Amino acid sequence: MEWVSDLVLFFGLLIAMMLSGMPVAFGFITLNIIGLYLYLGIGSLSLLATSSFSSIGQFSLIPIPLFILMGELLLRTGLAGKTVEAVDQWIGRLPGRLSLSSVGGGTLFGALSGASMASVAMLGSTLVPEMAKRGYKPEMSVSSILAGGGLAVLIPPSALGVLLGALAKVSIAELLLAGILPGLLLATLYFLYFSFRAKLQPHLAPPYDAPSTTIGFKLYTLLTVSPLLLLIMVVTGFIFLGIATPSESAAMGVIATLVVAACYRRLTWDALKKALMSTMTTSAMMLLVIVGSTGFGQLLAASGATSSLVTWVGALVIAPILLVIAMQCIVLLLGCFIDTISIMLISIPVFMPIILDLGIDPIWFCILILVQLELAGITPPFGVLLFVMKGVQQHLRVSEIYRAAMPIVLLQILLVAILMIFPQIVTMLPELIRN
Amino acid sequence: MLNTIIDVFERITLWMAIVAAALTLAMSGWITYDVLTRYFLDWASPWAFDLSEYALVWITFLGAPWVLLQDRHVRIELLVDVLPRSIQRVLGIIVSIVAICACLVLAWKTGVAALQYIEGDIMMARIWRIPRIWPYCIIPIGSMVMALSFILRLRLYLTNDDPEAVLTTRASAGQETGHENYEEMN
Repeated sequence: MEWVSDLVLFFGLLIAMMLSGMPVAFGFITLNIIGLYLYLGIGSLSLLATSSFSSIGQFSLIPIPLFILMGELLLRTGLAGKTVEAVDQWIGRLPGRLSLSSVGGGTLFGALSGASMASVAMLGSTLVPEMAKRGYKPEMSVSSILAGGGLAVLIPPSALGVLLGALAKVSIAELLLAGILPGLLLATLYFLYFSFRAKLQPHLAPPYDAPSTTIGFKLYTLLTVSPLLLLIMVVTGFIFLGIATPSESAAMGVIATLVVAACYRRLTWDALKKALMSTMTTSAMMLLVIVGSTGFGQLLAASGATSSLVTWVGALVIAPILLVIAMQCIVLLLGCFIDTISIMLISIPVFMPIILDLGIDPIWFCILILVQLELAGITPPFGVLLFVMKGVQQHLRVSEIYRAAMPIVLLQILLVAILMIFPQIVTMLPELIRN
Repeated sequence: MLNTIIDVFERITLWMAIVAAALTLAMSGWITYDVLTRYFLDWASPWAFDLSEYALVWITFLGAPWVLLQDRHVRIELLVDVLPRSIQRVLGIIVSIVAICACLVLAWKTGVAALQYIEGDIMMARIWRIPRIWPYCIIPIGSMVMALSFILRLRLYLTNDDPEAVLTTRASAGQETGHENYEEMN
C-alpha cells in the first residue's frame, strides 16, 4: 500500500501549499519539482523543460484566451447590456419581470461569452438599479442575477469548459456542445422558479405598470440585437456544423465581435485596451495553472499512485453510479471553500482515470462536474460570485446574499439529479455530430 | 537607486504584458485569415497552426510576471485572512522564498535546454521549420522575471506594515466590473 502514502504525501503538500496562500500555479510547479526529485532523481528535472512547453503549446487551448476576449469585448463596449434590454422588452408584463430578464439575459450573454464573472458583473450593473427602484427583495434580485450569471459556465462558448476538457483530455467540441441542453434546461428551471415565486409572494417582486410596448417595437429591439445573434451562429453554430474547430470559431468570433462593435460605433480605443489587458490577465493565469497541473497528473501517474488507485477502486463492490455521486459530493464540498480552478486541478487528475476505467461516458461526467463547478461559484461561504455580487450591491449584508443563493444551489442540485437520471440530455448533441 | 531599478523592472513587466495582450488579438487575426483563405481560396497556411501554439506559450510567460505583481494569480486566502498579521508575514516570507526557488529551478532547467537548442541549431520538427529556440526562449526568460517578481513580493512582506492588505488592494484595482462602461453608454 505504498501508493497510499504517496497519495497522502502529494495531497498533503498540495493542500499545505494552497492554504499557505501561495498562488496555486506556483504551488503546483513547486510540487512537481519536489516530486520529480524524490521519485526520479535530480536528472529528471530536465523533464520540466519539455513539459512546460508541450503542456500549453496546444492548439486546442486557444479558445481559453479567445472566448474570454469575446466576452470582455462585449462587456467593455457595452454591447452586453443591449442583450438584457432586448430580453426585457420581450418578457413584458410577466410577474417578476426583472428576475426573468436576468435569467434570459444571462442565457443570451452566456451564449455570447464564456466568463461567469463578467456575466454577473454585467447583469448586476444593468439590472440592479432598476430592481432597487422597483422594490425587489434580495430573494428575487440577487438570486436571479447569480442564477443568470452562472449559466455562462454551461452554455457554450465556455472558457472554463475548455479548461476542463483539456485537463480531462476529452473532445472539446463535444464537451462544449454537450453543455447546450443542460444549460437551457437549467435556464428553464430558473424561469419557472422565479415566475412561481413572484406569483405566490408578490411582495418580493412588486408588480409595476411597465409601459406597454407594441409588437412593432419588440421586433425593432430584436432587429437591433440581431448582429449579436449572428455571433452565436459564428461560434456555436460553426462548431455544431463541423465547419470549424472550437479554436478556429473562437478566433472568428473575436473578429466578428470587433466588426459588430465597430458597426454599433462602440469600438473605442479605451474599451479595446481594457478588454485586451483583462483577457491577458485571466488567460496567463489559467495557462500557467495548466503548466503546473499537467506535471501533477504526470507525477501521480509516474509514482504509480494513479494506477493503484484505479485498481483499488475497480475492486470495490460499489455501483459505479454511487462512485459518481461520491465524486460529486467531494467537488460540492470543496466548492464551499476553494475556487473553481483549484477544484478542477485537484480532482480531475484523480477522477478521470477511475471514470474511464469504470466505462462511464467521460463527456457526461465532465458536464456533471461543470455544473458542480458553476455551483462552487455560488456556494456559501466562499463562492466568488457572491463576492462579485457584494461588490455590486454594497448595502446588502452577506447573510442576505447567502440566503438568496440557497434556492439557486438547490435548483442546480436538482439539475444534476435530472442529468443523472436522463443522461441523454447531455449525450444527445455530441452523438449527433459524431455520426 | 533601488527604487529606480524597481520602477524600471515593473515597467518591463508591464510592457511584456502589453505584448502578450497584443498577441492575443493578433492570434485571432491570423487564425481567421487561415480559415477564410482555406475555405474560399483553397490556400492553406501551415504556419498559422504552429504560430498559434507558440503564441500561447509566449502569452503565458510574457503575461504571468505582471499578473503576479498585480496579485491576480488565483490563490486561496481562506486561511491567510484569518491569521494574525505577524503570522501572515512569516508565512508570506516562507511562501515567497519557496516560490523564488521554484522559479529559479524552472529558469535553470529550461535555460539549459534553451542553450542546447542554440548550440545544436535544433529546428522544430514540423512542416514550418524554424529554430526551436524562437518559440522556446520565452520560458526561461519569463521564469527568471517571475523569480524577480517574487523577490519584490518578498520585499513587500519584509518591509510593509500590512502586506496582505496591499496585495488585496492591487488585485481589486485591476478588476473593474464594467459598470462604468454601462454608465457611459446611457
